[in-house]
Formats: sequence, structure tokens, C-alpha cells
Amino acid sequence: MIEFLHVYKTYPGPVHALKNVELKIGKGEFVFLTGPSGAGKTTLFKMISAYDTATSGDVKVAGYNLQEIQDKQIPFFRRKIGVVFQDFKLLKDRTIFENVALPLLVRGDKAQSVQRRVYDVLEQVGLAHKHDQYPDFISGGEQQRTAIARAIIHQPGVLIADEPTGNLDPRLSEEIMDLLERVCSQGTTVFVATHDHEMVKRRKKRTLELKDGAIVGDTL
Amino acid sequence: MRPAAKNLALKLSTVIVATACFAVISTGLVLSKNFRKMITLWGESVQLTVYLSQDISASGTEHIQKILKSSAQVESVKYITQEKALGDFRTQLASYAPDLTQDDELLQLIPASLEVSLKSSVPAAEHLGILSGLASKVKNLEGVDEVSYGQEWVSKYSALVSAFEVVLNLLGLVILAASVFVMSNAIRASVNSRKDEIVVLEMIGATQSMVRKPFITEGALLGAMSSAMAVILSFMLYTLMKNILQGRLSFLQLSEHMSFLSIVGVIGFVICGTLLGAFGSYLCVRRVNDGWAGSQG
Ligand SMILES: Nc1ncnc2c1ncn2[C@@H]1O[C@H](COP(=O)(O)OP(=O)(O)OP(=O)(O)O)[C@@H](O)[C@H]1O
Ligand SMILES: [Mg+2]
Repeated sequence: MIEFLHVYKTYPGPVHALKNVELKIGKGEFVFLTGPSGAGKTTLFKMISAYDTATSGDVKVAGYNLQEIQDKQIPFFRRKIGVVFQDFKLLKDRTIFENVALPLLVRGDKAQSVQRRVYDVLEQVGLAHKHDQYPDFISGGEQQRTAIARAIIHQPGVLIADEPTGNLDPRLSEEIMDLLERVCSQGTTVFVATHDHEMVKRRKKRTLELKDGAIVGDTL
Repeated sequence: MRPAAKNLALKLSTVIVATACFAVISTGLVLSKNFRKMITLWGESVQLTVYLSQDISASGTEHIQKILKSSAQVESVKYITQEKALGDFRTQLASYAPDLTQDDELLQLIPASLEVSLKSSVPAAEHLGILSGLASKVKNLEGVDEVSYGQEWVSKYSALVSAFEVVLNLLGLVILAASVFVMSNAIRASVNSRKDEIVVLEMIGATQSMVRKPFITEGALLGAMSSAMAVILSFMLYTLMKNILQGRLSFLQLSEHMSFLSIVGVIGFVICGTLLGAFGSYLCVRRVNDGWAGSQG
């Protein structure tokens, strides 16, 4: 599902953010990405989501070769993945329901099937009763669950989450991780970057460790 | 403020700013149209009058006419007979001095004349030179009594017209530039306030045109609404001006020559406003940051 071959990323400076990264994550796997601040975790996720291209090497995600992808194809590639950010990125002037429905509306689904699917997913993340609330009026944990609902509603093959619990307290963090594991068990590849070593240890999942732009550990 | 209310407040202030800009432009257009019109009206009375002596022969008149017509800038040379001149004089005076118009002796006092008017393509600034040239050409011919072209008045008029034209063009340019600047700022503010929305739309796979469409539609709507309101505003201003000219300043006789923008002009103005709004939005919606900015170490 995700494949990096000899990937280098150099920012002007020069900053060597990624150095000869090799990795392969299969369908339905759950993988943690850890490493100190500045190690290159976010950079790696930018490559996966086609927000930036590698300086050299190959990046393949969900059947797309992102080194060769044309700008016009990027929106269609993005419909095959789900992205979760630390700061949720919900639209504040739309209800929970409307936020979650966006990916389906963008690809042109019919209103009726959108409605059914949104309620299904909200049920799954335990937010069906808050569907007509605005993001500013629900808790941080609920906002992140909304963001996850939006990231999985179109049943993407890959879900990447960059520090999804960075703004949440430990109890809510556990809730979010449980939810991500459930998403994975339904067949989606889940890739999560985090600083939280304790949680990574407890979860006993495959963990990649990044340091100074190079992969220095893989528990596989 | 609720998110929707905040959004509305921003939109409202953008509409107000854009309306003000468009109103300045449309009022400027109306003013310039009427100035130009008045200037041409005055211009029509700028002509050379050659007064003929009583005893001039028909061939003598023709000879002078031919000389005048040979100039490339002359549009027409009209022969005003003594009878016609008197008739005009009578109608003009009828209401003031009815007795005077009965007096046949007057006929002897009013001479026949040739009225020379210049082509409309001749720039106003050159009128004086051309008219004085023509005047000196015919002044000493036999049968010419007197030549008049309101020298002083014409020279003032020419200077006035060229000054007006320069000032109007400069002013129009400055106002247009300022309006475009203010409008694009307003639209950019609106786009910036919705940056989050663009980031999210790009993340979930909206195409470039999907992302742009709502902004362009909004910009077009903004332009249409603002320019339409601006036309209404300047029409109100125009009516007010006209009423003042008709009432307290009626002796100037300006109001009957005044006109607002034509229907075509109004429609064109609103269409231009709509396009300007849409184009402004199009330029403002570029790719924003990629959403990972918040998670950089
Ligand atoms: N757009 C950029 N231009 C220049 N340098 C950059 C850019 N983005 C990242 N970097 C640099 O690349 C390196 C890796 O950054 P990255 O954001 O990937 O780290 P990270 O592992 O996500 O850190 P954190 O845990 O703090 O989020 C850092 O040294 C950073 O300063
Ligand atoms: Mg990061």
C-alpha cells in the first residue's frame, strides 16, 4: 500500500529531511512512526499525501506512483487516502454532519446515500447525537473523532495521521487510538506518527523509528 | 459571534467597500459624460461669422464662400440672408419688445452673413488658430464688412476644453487604480478568511476548479451587486444634481441637456463589475499552504 524506494528529500539550506528512506507497508497493516522533533516524520507524510515530491527515489501509495503523478491527478489520488492532522482542520461554519459529508460531496455522491453513510460513520465514532453541532461547541476528543470520521467516510485504502493525539489528554488519546485500530481492522492501512512512546509500547504494533531523516529501527 | 454571523459581517463590509468604489467610478462616468456634452454644446456656438456689406453682388458672395470652403477644417459655410437674420432676431426679441419687431427699418440695420463652422474632428485646442487664420484671409476682401469669431471667448474655451480633458483622464485613471486596489484587497481578505476551507477541500480531493468555483461565484455576485447598487447610488446623486440645476440654477439652462448613463451603458457597467469581481477572485485563489504547516516542528 505504501512503498518508499531510496527516498531523499532535501530542503533549501540544505536541510536533509529524509535520507535514503526504504519502507514497505502492506494492506491492512497498523504502523507507528516515532522519532524526535525534526526527525522528518511530517516530511514523510507530506510525500505520502502528495503535498511535496521527493528530491530523488520513488514513492508509491495506493497504486499511484507519486514521483510521476500529474497535478491534475492529485485530487483523484487524494480521494483514495484519508488524512488526519493534529489540529483537526474542521470547517467551523459547518456542522459535524456537513464536515463529515464533504469527501462524498466532492466526488459527487447522491444526497440520499451521503446521508445514510454519514450517519453510519458518525455512529461508528460515537457522535451520531452531535451531528448538528458546530465544531467549536464540542470537545477536542470529539473534534478529532469528527476528523477521523471525515478521513474514513470514503473508505480509503490508506489513513495517515500526524500526531492525532498531540492536542488531547491521555484518556482521550487512548480513545482515539482505539478508534484508529478499529478502522484498521476493517481493512484500511493505518500509519500514525506520534511522540507518545508509552502508548506505542503498550499497543505492541509495528513501529518505525526515524532519526535525522533516516530510518533507524523497524520492529517488523 | 457565531461563525455564520462573522462570515456575513465580512461579506457585508466587502460589499460596502466595493459599492463605494463602483459608485465613484459610475458617478465619474456620468460627470464626464455630461461635461463632455456641455463642452460640445458650447463648442457648437463657436463659429466664424463674416458680415457682408449691403451692396455685395451674388458672385462676390460666392467668391468669399469658395475661399472659406477651400479650408480642409471647415465643415460648412451657411449663407444667412438679411430676411432670415431679421426673422431670427424677431423671434428672439418677440417676448421682450413686441413693438420693435414691427419696424421694417430694422431690415436695413441687420446685414446678411456667412456662418462658418468647423468639422467636429478638429480638436478644440486648435479652433482659435484656425478661426483667426480664416478671419485674416477674408477680412480685407471686397464686400466684407466685419469678421467676428469671439476671439477672447474662443481662446478661453479652447484652453478650458483641453484642461478638462487632461484632468478627467487623469482623475479617471487614479480612481480606477484605487478602486481595483481596494476591491482586490477586499476579495483577498475574504479568501484569507476561508483559507482553512481551501486547505480542507484540497485535502479531501476537490479539484482546482471545485475549489475555485465558490470563490469566483462569490466574486461575481459581489461585483454584480456592488456595481448595481453603485449605479442606483449615482442615479440618486444625478437626480439630486438635476433638481438643483432645475430649481435654483435654472437660468444656466443646463438641466435639459443633462443625461444619465444609457441603458446599454448601465448594463455594460454591471457586466464589467461582475467580470471584475469574478476575475479578482480568480487571481486571489491560489494554492494555499498544504495543511501540514501546523504540524511542523
Ligand atoms: N518546508 C521546509 N523548508 C525547509 N525545511 C523544512 C521544511 N519542512 C521541514 N523542514 C525541515 O526538515 C526537517 C524535518 O522536519 P519535519 O517537520 O518533517 O520533522 P518532524 O519529525 O515532523 O518534527 P516534529 O516531531 O517536531 O513534528 C526539520 O529540520 C525541518 O526544519
Ligand atoms: Mg511533524
